[in-house]
Amino acid sequence: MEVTVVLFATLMRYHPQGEKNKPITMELPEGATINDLIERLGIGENEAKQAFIRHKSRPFDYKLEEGDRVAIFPPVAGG
Amino acid sequence: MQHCGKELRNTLISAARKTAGPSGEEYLSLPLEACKALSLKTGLNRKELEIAALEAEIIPERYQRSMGTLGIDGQLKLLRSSVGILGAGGLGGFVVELLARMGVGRLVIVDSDTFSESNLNRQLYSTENNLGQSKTDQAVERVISVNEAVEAVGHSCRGSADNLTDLFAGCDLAVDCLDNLPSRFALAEACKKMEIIMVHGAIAGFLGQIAVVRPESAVLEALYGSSRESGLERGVETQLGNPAYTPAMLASWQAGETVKILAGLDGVLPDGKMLMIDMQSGESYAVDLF
Repeated sequence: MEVTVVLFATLMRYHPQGEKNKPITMELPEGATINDLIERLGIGENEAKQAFIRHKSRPFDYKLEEGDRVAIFPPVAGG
Repeated sequence: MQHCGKELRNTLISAARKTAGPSGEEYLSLPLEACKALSLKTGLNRKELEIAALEAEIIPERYQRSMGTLGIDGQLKLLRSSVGILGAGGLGGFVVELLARMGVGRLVIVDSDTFSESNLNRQLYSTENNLGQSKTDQAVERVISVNEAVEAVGHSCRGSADNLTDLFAGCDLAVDCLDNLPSRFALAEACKKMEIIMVHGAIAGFLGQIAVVRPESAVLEALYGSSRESGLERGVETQLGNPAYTPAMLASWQAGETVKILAGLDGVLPDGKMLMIDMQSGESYAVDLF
């Protein structure tokens, strides 16, 4: 299945083509989760904190569906 | 000398002047100088005097441009409200400024820190002349110079689970302007005990997030996981820093949500809804956290 991924802030450096602001199109096996996607991109443990799909925050074991657009953010805590 | 209700009303009406607003509509305006003079004459403090004026449908001129969104009723509610602000740095400075200008009647500002050079890029109340001075002292001084009707209380100490319920006693709402997670969780815990709303905000680089946390809600846990379990204390702001515009933007959202809640206006962010705004990509998300 094909999903689209958008990375933000510190995670942009994991863009496979280095085109920081461009969405990434990825081909993943059926049943793949957000965790699988994060691993495939080489994003380190605890570097990603929030993943949004269809206006909802999703747990990282969420099973992706064909055509999903996933926005991934690092933890934000400054003031 | 204290004036009784009818006498005070008459005094206010004779000091007010009929003025045309930007849309051409006429209203009774009370200029700042009249507010000051009448406060001295009547023995009422500035907040009490402004409340009395608004009750008589006289608009202190300083709030005229807020009337279109708040109305007299909303302005009265703000003047009678009390807000606790934890953190007087990037977010906190702008939040204090905006709430003082809107005429929130009492602001309790808590921060243990003093201004340093690295604050100058973004923290509204830091200047080249006040480095080393208490952030809360500077914030209180500024509030008094912006709007004397606002009672500003500063506590130059670290807010913790032990002291926040005392420091924010009597507050209708608290604004999270913190830069670390343990203090955020402590504030959420205190708000839960006091049964008040916490307006959460956090920033890093071009990113900002905001949510309105109800006392019974687990928004922080949904955002960060349990702080104690993960050991996470800070986010990627340690790498990205905080440029001037991100705290200004996020603090404006926080002040807007605060005003809506206090004034009873529509459109407050619902429970579990978070706004994530990225000024770099131009993308923003309104998502359900649970």
